[in-house]
Amino acid sequence: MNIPEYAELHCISNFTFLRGASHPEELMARARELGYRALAITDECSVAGVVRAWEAAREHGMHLIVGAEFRLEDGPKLVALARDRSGYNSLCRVITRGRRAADKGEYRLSRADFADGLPGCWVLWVPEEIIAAETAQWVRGQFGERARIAAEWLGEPGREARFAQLQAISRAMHIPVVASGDVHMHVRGRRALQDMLTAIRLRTPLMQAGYHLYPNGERHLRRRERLAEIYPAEWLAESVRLAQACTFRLDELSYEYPEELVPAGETPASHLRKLTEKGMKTRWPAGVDERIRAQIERELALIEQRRYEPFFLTVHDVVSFARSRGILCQGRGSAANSAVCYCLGITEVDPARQPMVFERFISAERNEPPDIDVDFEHERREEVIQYIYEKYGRARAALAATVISYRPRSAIRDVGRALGLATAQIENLANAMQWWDGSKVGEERLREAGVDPQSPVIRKLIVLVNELIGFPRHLSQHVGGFVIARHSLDELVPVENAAMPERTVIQWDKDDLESLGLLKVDVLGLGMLTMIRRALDMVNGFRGTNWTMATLPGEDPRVYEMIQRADTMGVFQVESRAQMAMLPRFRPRNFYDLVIEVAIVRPGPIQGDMVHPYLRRRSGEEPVEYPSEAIRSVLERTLGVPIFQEQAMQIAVVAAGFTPGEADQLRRAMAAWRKRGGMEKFERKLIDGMRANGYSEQFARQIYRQLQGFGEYGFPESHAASFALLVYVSAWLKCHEPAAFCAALLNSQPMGFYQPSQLVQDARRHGVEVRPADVAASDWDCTLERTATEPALRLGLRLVKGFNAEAAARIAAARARQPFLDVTDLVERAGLSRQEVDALAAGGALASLAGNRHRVRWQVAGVEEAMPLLGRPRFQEGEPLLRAPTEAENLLADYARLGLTLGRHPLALLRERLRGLGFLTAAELAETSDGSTVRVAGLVINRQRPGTAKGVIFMTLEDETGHANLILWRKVAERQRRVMLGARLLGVTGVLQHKHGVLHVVAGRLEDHSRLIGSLLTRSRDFH
Amino acid sequence: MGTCSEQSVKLDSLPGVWRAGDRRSVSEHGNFSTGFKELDECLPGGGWPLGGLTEILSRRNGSGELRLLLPALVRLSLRKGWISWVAPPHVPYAPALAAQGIRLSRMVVVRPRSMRDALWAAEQTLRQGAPSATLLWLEGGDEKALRRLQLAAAESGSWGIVFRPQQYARTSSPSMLRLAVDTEDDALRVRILKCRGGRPVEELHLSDHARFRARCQVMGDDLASNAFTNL
Amino acid sequence: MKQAQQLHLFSTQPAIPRARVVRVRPARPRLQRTRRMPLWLAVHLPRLAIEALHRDDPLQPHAAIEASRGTMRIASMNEAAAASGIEAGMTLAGGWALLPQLEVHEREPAKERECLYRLALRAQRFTPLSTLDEQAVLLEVRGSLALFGGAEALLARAAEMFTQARFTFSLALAPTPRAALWLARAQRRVHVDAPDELPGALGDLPLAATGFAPDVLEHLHGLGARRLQDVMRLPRDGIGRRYGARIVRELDQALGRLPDVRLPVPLPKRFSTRLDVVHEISLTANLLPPLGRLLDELEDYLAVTQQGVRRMVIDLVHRDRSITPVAIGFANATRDGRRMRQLVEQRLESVALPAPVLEIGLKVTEMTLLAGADRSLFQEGRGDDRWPEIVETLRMRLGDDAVASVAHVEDYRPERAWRFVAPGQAQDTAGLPNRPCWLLTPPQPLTERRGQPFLDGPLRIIDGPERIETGWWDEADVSRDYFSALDANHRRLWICREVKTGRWWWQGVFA
Repeated sequence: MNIPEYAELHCISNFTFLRGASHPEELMARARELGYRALAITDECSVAGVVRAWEAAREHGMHLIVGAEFRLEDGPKLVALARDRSGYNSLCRVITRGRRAADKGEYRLSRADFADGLPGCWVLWVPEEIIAAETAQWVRGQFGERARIAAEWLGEPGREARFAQLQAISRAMHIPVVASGDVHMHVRGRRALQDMLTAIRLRTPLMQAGYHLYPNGERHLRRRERLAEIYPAEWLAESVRLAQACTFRLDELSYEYPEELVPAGETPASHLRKLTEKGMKTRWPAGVDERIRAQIERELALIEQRRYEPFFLTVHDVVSFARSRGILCQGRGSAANSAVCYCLGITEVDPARQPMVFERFISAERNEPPDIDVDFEHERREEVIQYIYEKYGRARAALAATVISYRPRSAIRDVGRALGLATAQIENLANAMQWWDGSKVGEERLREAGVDPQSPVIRKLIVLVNELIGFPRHLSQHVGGFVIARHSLDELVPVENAAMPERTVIQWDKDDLESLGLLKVDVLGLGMLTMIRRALDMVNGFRGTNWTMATLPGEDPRVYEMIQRADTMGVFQVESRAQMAMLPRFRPRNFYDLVIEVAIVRPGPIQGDMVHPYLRRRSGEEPVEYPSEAIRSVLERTLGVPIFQEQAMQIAVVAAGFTPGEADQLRRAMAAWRKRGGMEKFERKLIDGMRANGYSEQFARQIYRQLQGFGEYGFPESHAASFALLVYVSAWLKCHEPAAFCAALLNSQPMGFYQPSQLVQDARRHGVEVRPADVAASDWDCTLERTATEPALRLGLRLVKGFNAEAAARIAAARARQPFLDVTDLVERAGLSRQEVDALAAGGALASLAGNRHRVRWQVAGVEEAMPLLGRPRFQEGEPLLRAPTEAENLLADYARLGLTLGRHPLALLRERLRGLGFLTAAELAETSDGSTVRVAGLVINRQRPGTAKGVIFMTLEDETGHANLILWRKVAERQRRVMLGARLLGVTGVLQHKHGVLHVVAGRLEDHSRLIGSLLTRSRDFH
Repeated sequence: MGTCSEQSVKLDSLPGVWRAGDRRSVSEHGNFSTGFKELDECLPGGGWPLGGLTEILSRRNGSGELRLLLPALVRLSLRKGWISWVAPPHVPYAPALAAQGIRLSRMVVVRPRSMRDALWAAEQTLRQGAPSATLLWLEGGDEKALRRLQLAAAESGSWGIVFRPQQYARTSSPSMLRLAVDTEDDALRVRILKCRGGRPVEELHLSDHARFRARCQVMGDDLASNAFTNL
Repeated sequence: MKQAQQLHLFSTQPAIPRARVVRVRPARPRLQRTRRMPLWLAVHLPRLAIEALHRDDPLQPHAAIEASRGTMRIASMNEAAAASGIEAGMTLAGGWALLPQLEVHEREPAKERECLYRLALRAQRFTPLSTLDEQAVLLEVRGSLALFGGAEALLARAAEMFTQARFTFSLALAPTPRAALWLARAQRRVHVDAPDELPGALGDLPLAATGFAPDVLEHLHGLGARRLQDVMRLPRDGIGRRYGARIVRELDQALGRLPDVRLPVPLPKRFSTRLDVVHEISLTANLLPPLGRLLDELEDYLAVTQQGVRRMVIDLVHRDRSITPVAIGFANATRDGRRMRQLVEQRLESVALPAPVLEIGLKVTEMTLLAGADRSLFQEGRGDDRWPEIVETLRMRLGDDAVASVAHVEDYRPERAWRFVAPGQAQDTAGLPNRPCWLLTPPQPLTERRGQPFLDGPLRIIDGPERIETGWWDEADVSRDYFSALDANHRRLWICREVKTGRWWWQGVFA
């Protein structure tokens, strides 16, 4: 017997958050298995899952129909299916309308919103149990011939009566009936997960979800044999007829750039050329090197061939705006470091200065849109975003979405709650997942946590959590990826509200955009740019110079010497413990060394075991060999070790015979495998390909392992180059302008690895005079003050805990008119509240007005708030009996209220006692030889557990002479966990490692000496 | 099943539901509507007699005896009357009763271990007074026992319903009203065996036409309602 | 004695040493001034937050947690956790980083209040003026000194009571409630007898013992004030203006310069108490120690209220929240602890536990003023509605289980969509359409003939199937197709077929 054909037209995926219980890919694959003619993905007021479905459909050769389900506030449930491009446009428009009318994550539509009748769409009406004739008339009237009645039997009683009823309405209203399935999952087996999602959605334990759950698991992709038993043949046939009329394919969508960037009479190509020429004159006023000119011509030709001009023009426009406002920015990404981008001002990486081959970054055979991310000063990125909205309008510009998915912890929490576990028990379980090491919840972990994995509840929990991990939970906004359209964006993809007011996001994420070849411009925020701009402003203001990132002297040997010494606290990217440990061995000598340095000291390359081979080859301890000329061409610049993402792809092409397209898939798989897996299929292909080309299995495996290591962390070379420039610029500032460098860093906090206290101490060690925060001299920000010689750093009131910028501005304004007489004068003229003045008192910023801290605080607390008309009352009251603070008390108060002290280091006060306990200073360590057993003590300023080094913990101790770096092996750390985590003043006995100018103490015994410092509030930044 | 509650609601909206002073009243405590028009017309007082026993005889449990009573019980429930189920043959199923409109909060199920206890319990609940109903299932029971119950109900004015097997139709009984009930193709067949103040009726067919109506309610459209007559 | 042994076995927590009382100064005879001066005993419970939830597992580290500004933080921990470095205020993540085996419980302020209240009630054996403060019980004991044989003996008795109740505590005696509280908080086991000794005794306390608001404490710290005497040296008006009148008032109250009126905790009208059991109990014998603690409370309560118990019910609560009630009646009302224990022990011997016990409840269903006439708890409902009385009469004769209401439970599985509840305790709900009025419990198997279900003849299916497939979460997953069918007598039955086995069942009658 012939099984009737069928196309499922009503099916939601897990992009109908907390309702759909299968991934779009699973639905597609299952529909294919069952021999469905087509499958519509009709998420509720959303198309967020269709791109994934489309990719799966392509893979399986299935017919995907794009649609959406709607529950109208005043009426029926509808399913709209796009027949053609115009239908897709109407679908996107109505989704946008519904989403924009409601809060984030919700929608609101009523019959009036369908007044245009959704041209180009089939409209399935899913009738309610009791059908009002008026609804039937509305459906018929609104959608006419394109309307259908969806007959959905899902195991309810009274099927025959129901079908008869639908048939009757159909005949009376002339609306044909079509069979559909209200599918929520690809197989019946997802029933438990679907119930779970319902419970999570309702925030109620499953046992109490009652009739909110579905009574059965019929909402899956049912076998066609079964459908044939349920539905009349004609209704099944109708589903196929409708599906066949749906010809819209997602790849019809193409991106059309904004037109307004090209002036009348110009083509995009001619305009881009004009702008590039103009930029060349600015960049190279003395004339352009032939090599560069040739480079530019090649790039322009490539851009023209791929028709990428509007993209470059768009980025140029955004960057020009930033420049006009004095907002520092720097491009990175595959196309950013082209010569053209240098001319357009998108990047400051000078192609004349760097021995890089730029066509690597845009290539004709890599069928991939150019990628330019632009970093802006983080505090001013908002201005850029507002500019884009203003220029293109909200209808044409929106942010890409980020799909927030379930991770093990969130999955455990939600599943645990739905299974009715107690909060504390759930926390205990989630805690067991603390050191998470895969994408599945493992039984061992649970057993370690004292949970019995065999207990029925826990068994269910494990199964459900494993299913739930990776399920999308909601859409969030991408940090800064803008999509800008020529016409209305909502014809391309629906737009919805984001959590931030006045922000809108599209329903697709960056992978979706990439799949469809749509372009986005990344507008990102970077704190270091803020810091650099501030430092440059300060330097230029102080010295009358006119430095910019581009004009700072390049390749300054003193800068490199400083970097080689690892004297890099506060310098971009190379200030971490791992970087500092590397620098003295690596000894970067030029800009390209910085590029490699930035890329190599990353979790990916470290895990892929690339660092040590590279260092050995660089120092000549190991010969540089290439298994073939092809490999040499790819890896020569990095001494045979793949360091950049591009190199991985090139190896796949030249050594394993990948096509550029496959290499591109490989790149995407590398980026995602940690989240989703999926590298395995490339493993075989890569290794087989390399073996076939005569490479050894061992070499192939090594390359594969290295590629895997890139994971999410791998750096493309162009990114590394952009970052390296920031490394150089910030290092230059630290080297030549330490006061401005430190002030700008302090003004940009929080940022980087170090606390203000460490930054200030570092500046003082470099000879900077640091002056205290004081209402008589300080602004909100830290500033430079003139001295006979180099500038002094005046701490700003921003360091005073609990103070605010507005009050600081009032103080500065009042002070400019006349210096303050006393505290009352200050409070009156600067209009300070009691909290504000108390914060200043506690922070010691009133010392110049009112003497010792204790007295100041008493006095300040007694200043009454001004009363209208009467002014500020003054009281006569008894003299308080208050002691003057001791040095230690002052110091502790400094730490508590400013986070730093300009007095002696707390350990200086304790030195005698520490010496008595046999502790050396950090400075003395430097004079001790490798392998000695040493004792050292200091404030814990940093604890790090790098993801790369298994179980190893790095700690940094600080004393009055500097820092001591500790390495704690796992066992040592575990055994002394309490001291390690609890001690603020830590003493260590260990073995000194003193190699390549790098000092480490490999810790043995730890001692907690915190009581020596009383309540000294040294907050350390733990586990960043 | 949907019909019962539907009709009862409609009937409940009529004035004088507790027809205490009805012209045809014979029971001093009044009667009230059964929810079936045909049956009401056959009963003196136009409904179930209060202040006494109603005896319902059937061949087997589940032959429509609850369907017969439900409209009245629902209305009693709306008046916040207590309903006691004494020695029911099965569990009175809460989801179904609630769907009919019975207030579960005013319902008590008594499961005595012996018939003696059952009779005793029913007597206690019958003493409770109006508005209340006591439903009692008896496999046997002599006249003396029923007389005690009849007295208790008469004293307090509450309504007692005794369910007994069909074979007791021929024995004498002190009940005010005796009915035999049966179902036939979804219709109720009722015989009035004894009726104080009225006369026996051979056969009444109480059917519910509107079984599908609730599921296919199409409001005020000729075309569509036309369509539904096809059902 | 058997009982004593069991109590001892249960009390695995190391005994807290008896309070050692240090007298601040030998009391000089000062009859005229001290005779009417009250004397307050403060019992501070520093670990109340955790001990209210858990105090049976002293070797395992346990902590109470609470959400504060979005993160879970440690509110309190037991001794084992404290010994491993867990501190109040730590984030939960930090606590776990330190001690991965730390077990946590979410803080329940209601339970803490309940604990304090119960302790205050029990402490009424020492004095009628027993009251509460934050994490503390306050007792005015001047009048009881003679009864108990002096302050030493009284303190020892109080320490004994709190030790038995397994709370961590500290004690102090002072003429004002606030001074006693502060001294206890500072863990000064002192006995200050006369008001003029107060400034000296309090001056040395760290400021934190006052429980002033954190910002006030912080600010005072910023003045260099570390102990209460530093604050007492500041001008009064100045303190008031800076930190509010409340601080001055509390200082004055502590020093006895201002009255500090405390009202005794009110008595409960009914006695009902409960206790979580840490490790599930499956042997009735093991129920005795925890029950002993509940009976202790009952005994205290009866003593205070001058009542005797006639009937009580022990509710043994199992994991699935089902309850095994054990009713105990006394021929004559009693408040004799020994007698109650004996009877409970006897009664438990005849109880078979259907499942392990997780929680024990004890409620008194009938109490009598020991001197006066009977007073029934069930007389309250009397009015026009005689219903409660009738229900009670029925239950008395037929047993509690024989009289019940049926409630609707939202569950698609028909056999779980209802349950018996106490009379009148069912909610009025909307119900479920297409369900029969009679449910067969248990369902009856049907035979099948020629592919048709059969019951005294073939059953004619008139509607269905309705697929019910749910319940995986509580080990009773079902997958069935339900049908309406007419039997030979034209009865409409509700039958179903199990999808997996194909077996037919009869589950209801539409009646």
